[in-house]
Amino acid sequence: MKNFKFFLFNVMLLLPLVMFAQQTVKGKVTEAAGGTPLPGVGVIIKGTTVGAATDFDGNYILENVKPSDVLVFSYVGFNTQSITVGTNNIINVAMVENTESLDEVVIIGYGTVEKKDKTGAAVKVSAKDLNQGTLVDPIQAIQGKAAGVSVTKQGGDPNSGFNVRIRGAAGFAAGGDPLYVVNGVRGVDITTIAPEDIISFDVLKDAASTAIYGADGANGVIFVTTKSGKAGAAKIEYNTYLAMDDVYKKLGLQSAKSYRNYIAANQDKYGDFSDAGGSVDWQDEVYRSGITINNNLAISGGSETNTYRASITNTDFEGVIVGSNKNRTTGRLDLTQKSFDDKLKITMGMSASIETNDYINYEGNGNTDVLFQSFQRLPTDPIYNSDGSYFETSRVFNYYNPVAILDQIQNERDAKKYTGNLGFDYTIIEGLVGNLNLSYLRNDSESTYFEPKYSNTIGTQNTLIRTGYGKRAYDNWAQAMLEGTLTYKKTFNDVHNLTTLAGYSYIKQDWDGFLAQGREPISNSLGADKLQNFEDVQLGDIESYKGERTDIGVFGRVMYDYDSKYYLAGMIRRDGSSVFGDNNQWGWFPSVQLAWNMANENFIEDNVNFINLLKLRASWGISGNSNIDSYLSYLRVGPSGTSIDPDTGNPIVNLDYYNNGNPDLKWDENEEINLGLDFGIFNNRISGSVEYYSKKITEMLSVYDVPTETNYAGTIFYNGGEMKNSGFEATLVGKVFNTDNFKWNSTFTFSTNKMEVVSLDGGKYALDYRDVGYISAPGIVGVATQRMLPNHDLGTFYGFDYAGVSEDGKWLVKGNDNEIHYLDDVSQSDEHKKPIGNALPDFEMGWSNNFTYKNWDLSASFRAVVGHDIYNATKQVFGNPDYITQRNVLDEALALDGYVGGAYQSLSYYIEDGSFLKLDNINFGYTLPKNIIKGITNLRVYTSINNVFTLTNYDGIDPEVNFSGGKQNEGEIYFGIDQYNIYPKTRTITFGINVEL
Amino acid sequence: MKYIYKIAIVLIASFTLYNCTDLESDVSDFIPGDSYPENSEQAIRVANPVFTKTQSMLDGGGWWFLQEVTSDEAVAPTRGADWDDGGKWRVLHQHTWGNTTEAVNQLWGLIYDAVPRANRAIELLEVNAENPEVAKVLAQTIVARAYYYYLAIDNYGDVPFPRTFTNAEEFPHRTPRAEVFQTIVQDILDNIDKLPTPNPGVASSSINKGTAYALLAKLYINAEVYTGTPMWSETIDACNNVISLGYSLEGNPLTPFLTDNGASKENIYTIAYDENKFTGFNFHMRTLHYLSQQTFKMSVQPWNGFAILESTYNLFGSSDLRAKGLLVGQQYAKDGSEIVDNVAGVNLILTPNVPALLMDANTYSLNQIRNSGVRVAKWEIKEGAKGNLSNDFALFRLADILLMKAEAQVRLNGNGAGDALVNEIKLRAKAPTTGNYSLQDILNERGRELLWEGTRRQDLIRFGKFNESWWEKNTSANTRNIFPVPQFAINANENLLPQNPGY
Repeated sequence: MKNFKFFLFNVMLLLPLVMFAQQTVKGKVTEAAGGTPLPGVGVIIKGTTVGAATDFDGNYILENVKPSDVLVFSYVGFNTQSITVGTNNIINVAMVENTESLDEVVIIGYGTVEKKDKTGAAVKVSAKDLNQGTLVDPIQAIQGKAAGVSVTKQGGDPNSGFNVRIRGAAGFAAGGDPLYVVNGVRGVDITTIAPEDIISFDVLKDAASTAIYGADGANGVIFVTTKSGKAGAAKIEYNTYLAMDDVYKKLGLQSAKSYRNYIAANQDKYGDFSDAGGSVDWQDEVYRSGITINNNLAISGGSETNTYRASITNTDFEGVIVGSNKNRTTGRLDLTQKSFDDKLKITMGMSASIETNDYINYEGNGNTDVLFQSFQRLPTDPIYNSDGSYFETSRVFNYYNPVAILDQIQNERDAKKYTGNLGFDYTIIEGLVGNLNLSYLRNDSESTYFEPKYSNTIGTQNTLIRTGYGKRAYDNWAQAMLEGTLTYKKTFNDVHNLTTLAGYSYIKQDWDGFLAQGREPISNSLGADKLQNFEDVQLGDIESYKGERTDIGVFGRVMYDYDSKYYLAGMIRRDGSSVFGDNNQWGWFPSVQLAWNMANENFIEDNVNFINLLKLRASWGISGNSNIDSYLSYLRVGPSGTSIDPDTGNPIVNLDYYNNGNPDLKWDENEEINLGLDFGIFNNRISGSVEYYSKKITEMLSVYDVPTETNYAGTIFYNGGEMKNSGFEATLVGKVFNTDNFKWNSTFTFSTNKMEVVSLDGGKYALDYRDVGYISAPGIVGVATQRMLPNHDLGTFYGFDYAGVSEDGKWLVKGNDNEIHYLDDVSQSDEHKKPIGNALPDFEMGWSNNFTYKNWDLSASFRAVVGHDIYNATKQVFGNPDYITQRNVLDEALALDGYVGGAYQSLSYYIEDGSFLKLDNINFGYTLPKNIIKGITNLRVYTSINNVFTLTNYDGIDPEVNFSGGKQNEGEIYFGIDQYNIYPKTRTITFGINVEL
Repeated sequence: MKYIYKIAIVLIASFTLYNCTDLESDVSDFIPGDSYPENSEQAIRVANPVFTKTQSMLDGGGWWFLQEVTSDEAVAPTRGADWDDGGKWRVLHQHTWGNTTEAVNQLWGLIYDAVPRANRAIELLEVNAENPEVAKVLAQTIVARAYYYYLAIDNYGDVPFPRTFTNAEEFPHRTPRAEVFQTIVQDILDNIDKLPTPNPGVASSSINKGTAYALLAKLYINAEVYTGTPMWSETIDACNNVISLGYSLEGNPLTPFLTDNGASKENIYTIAYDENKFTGFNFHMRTLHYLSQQTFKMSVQPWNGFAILESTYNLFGSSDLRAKGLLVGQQYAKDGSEIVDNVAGVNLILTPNVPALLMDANTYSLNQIRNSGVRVAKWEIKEGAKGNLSNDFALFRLADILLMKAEAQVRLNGNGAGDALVNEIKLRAKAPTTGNYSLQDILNERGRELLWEGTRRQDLIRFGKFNESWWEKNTSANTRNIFPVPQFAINANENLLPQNPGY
């Protein structure tokens, strides 16, 4: 009512002005910073469609303008300015670039909303807030930046990626990786994007938001948007850095000196120790300082109707273990073209990425696993014999010189990834936009592996150590996608805002691959480059595979709000996939979102004027997880190893059943309720959001034993499991200082996530529990440390409850009868095992800070993960006193020696608290004042440190151990096991320069 | 302008209508189950896995571990940090295994991997049974199934007993041991005539009349254990039937175990292992000392694990040729030089005595941990041996049949009734002959002749000795004479309950 009066008053005031004569207005629009002309700036008379755009020199001219008219100057990426014409005939405008404005829009899938209007749990992280320094993978840029988005990496191998889990997404047979959408293209491998080319990450977390991606939404969605060109003269950006990587923490094994001292002090017991006379720190022999060099060059520009941006990036990573390297070159080209009065917008994108990898083996305890071999190797064994050949000896099974392994084994990959996309946006009538998006992805890789034939003297005898093995493999994957949408946006009566969307999506994936291998090379120099070189080639040594998958979706969404106060959004997707069984190929994925922005209510606007945003949100939705292998629903028959014809003894190929069919196979279903609050106060100087969610994941796909008595195969893929997740997330963003010279922006995130297993079986196939998280080492074979158990959290460690050591030097455990038992007496019985810890954190926190003082900038990103247990199998193995004289050991082994022997079971003694606080990144830069060097628009030099420090009580080399869930067998998920296979974490120091011309 | 609009609409429409809702996904790299077998050649091949599932019996199939490590002739001691493996070997030795013990799971898995394939193959083959080749394969498949059910009742007692595939109960119940026994005996008798006649001296591992009679003899000799009613004279008849097929003892007791033993006239039913093409025979890896690699110039390093009990070693007299298959005392490299164990700082001398089942590094010296226990090289380990041997492993062998016949004669007619047959075995081995052999003498002879051949558990049960105490093992309850139904099988099928008594 009050507004209406004001409106009337204005109308009356303006009425007389209509009488004034009309005039012509012209002027020049420039960029405030630098003063360069801005072409393509929209200049319109407010409240009309009359207007013009600036020409290439930034000039515009408007005729028939009334003094009362208000000119609105708008341009993407700049603050919109409104100027009343008055009596001026020349109006020059300097546009101020607004980095904030891009933040104001949040991608929600097939559309965007303004941040203040979002109704789901969506987060945006923009370029200025991203982690800096040396990024092995672009996703590292948002580590600790978004509440509920856990970005972790076990170890520091440049060739292994980060694990990303949104709200603890996890499947048993299904994967937990989120869906990536890059510039509208689904399924792009984001490691093919240079971090320098990224402008923002947008994350959808709740099922009500991700339902628009239906059966692919349950793990959350991450949108990556890359930079595009702007109208104007060509802009050249060049970024380069040099980084040095060093091992952050070594395993505390004995030196040759301490080993010898210990043996000498215990001569009565270890008199039989044979000292080979060396003094070697084997970790130092396999570790090095790694150098990373990165160069990124981008050129962008355009006119009113078309823009372009091209970039090329090369990064050469040297891992800190000798022989592990990665070199990646990526190129991108993005073009946009507007035509037909700007009604048609065409976007084109192309990217190519070429990556070469040198791998080393370190995952297990085999005869080529570098970490295990260097950890176990006695410091008193020399590297070389006196004649310069490698020293080999036969202390225990699988005991080989790791330096020889690094020198001899070749393990390489060459991967090429291409992306092409073409998009059309056509404004059919005002408010109605049709979009068609076509894309094609192709990822091809080839791998070469060669272990030369190797014999050496052991004792006095020349002994064969490796017979030699080689293989080559090709893996190809392609995806074609077609998506089309129609969006209609309209505001009725100024207060009813409506956006509707209808769409269709078609995705087809194809893959195939080939592998050939052989053993016993006649020439080590030919290696696996000439497979004919292998004398031992058997049936089954040539393998190939081929398959495909189709996913189709039809979807619709309606979003309505009344005057930015009351919001209602509903969406539904009908999704189908060829990976599901015939009886369940299609499913519905609906959702509803409600929000109420109290800040726009009069009672707040009038009384509490420092509140800019206070929005309550509630949502409910269903999304699915179809991240599963293809063809699991089929009863499949195929070659399965080889056997012999019993009559002739000749080898034949076995045809056998892989698994039983299940025509009911479907997606894991994720039903989620989300409650949220967004707020902004003091002119949005402090803003943030709080979320609570509760998820029920039902019909989780897993693999079950079937009565083998009557089935072809022993297993079936069946939707049987159920889990309950809930969590709380908070984000607080503050512009703590905001003066001209000094600015301090700070972002704090906090999240909890609890995952409870409700049931493992689908009723039909009973399953009381599933043992997972197997560890293995000499003497430890097939020992599970974790159990998936109904009514317990996922990641529950399960085993024996340590209760001390007996007087006769045996491990004691407390059984479920509360009695103390000898571990050896109960070790093979399940009766006395119990939950002994949990691998999942209680909460995670991130705290990012950006400071600028004049031309100096400083940022620091902390991350804490608290309350998770780690099973330290590395300590169990190398803290084993039974190893003394045969292998190198930790101090732990010396402490236990004479007190108790090795333990070969899942034992709570080896469970440790893994809580940590890390300073992930600190970055310090200086930007040269503008125009100091002619022709250079911007020049910044910086230095950056990644993984500055880790505060933790954890004894192992790094407490960031697999939070995202590993799988050793189908249908399993385990967490948090440190098993001598963690590539060392590194501290990286980077020096870099950003130049803009 | 308008036409652009039209083109756009047509474009969108044509893209969206094309394959709009067709979730196609071509099948490329496997055969869908409902179109298999694709032809009659494949139908015969359906039966092949039934015959070759025996491949895993000595390792991942668990059978050998259950027959030997539970007995008084094989031991897998914990050697310092090695071979503890969570105690899975110790529970076998000490008769404290449970329904999740690995080998107990493995053997059940092996048997019931083979059974449904046999049932399926039988159904497919019956359709064309007038074809003589098909009829032969059909009879072989039925007898092979009888063999797996023999393993099932021998190890697990009452077992699920489906004999069809298509109409089988989805969650089958267990059938009493005696009833399974009767039915499979009948299956063998019904099919024996359709089986090929063996050709001793020609390498073959396929099922023939010799296999069938030997299997009958095994069933009959254990009939008392399985059904409560002994069948000694039937045992003798079945043994006679085997003997009449032309098998003969080799001159040297170790000849049947040579690398190239496929054509030995002594072997009746074998697993025809090959180091490359049909792998799974890795006793040498399990038993040999790391440094014995140098004795045989092996291409891989063995694991230094399994040994025989000292009491078993002491069964062998000094003249016994069969003891040449045992490694004891100083070990030598191929070139004749003494092997020195640098790590323990001593010559590699293998001792008959194993100080304990669990040798922890605190209590035992490196020499004891690494070098104790007599190792078995009864199956020839050829120069340059790989991780698997090419020797065939005999599941049924003439010497076993002769001793079974002797045993049945003694059981029917008293001590001395089997002397001729026992002496045939003893004389070949240059072992002293005393005559008037008792059942205990025959059990001891079986121990020497059939060492590690997978008969020991069954023999001890039949002779009533399985529950006695021996080195590092207390007396055990007679419920230990059968294994429990594995928990994983019960998880998949609750109709397998109730569990065997004592578990």
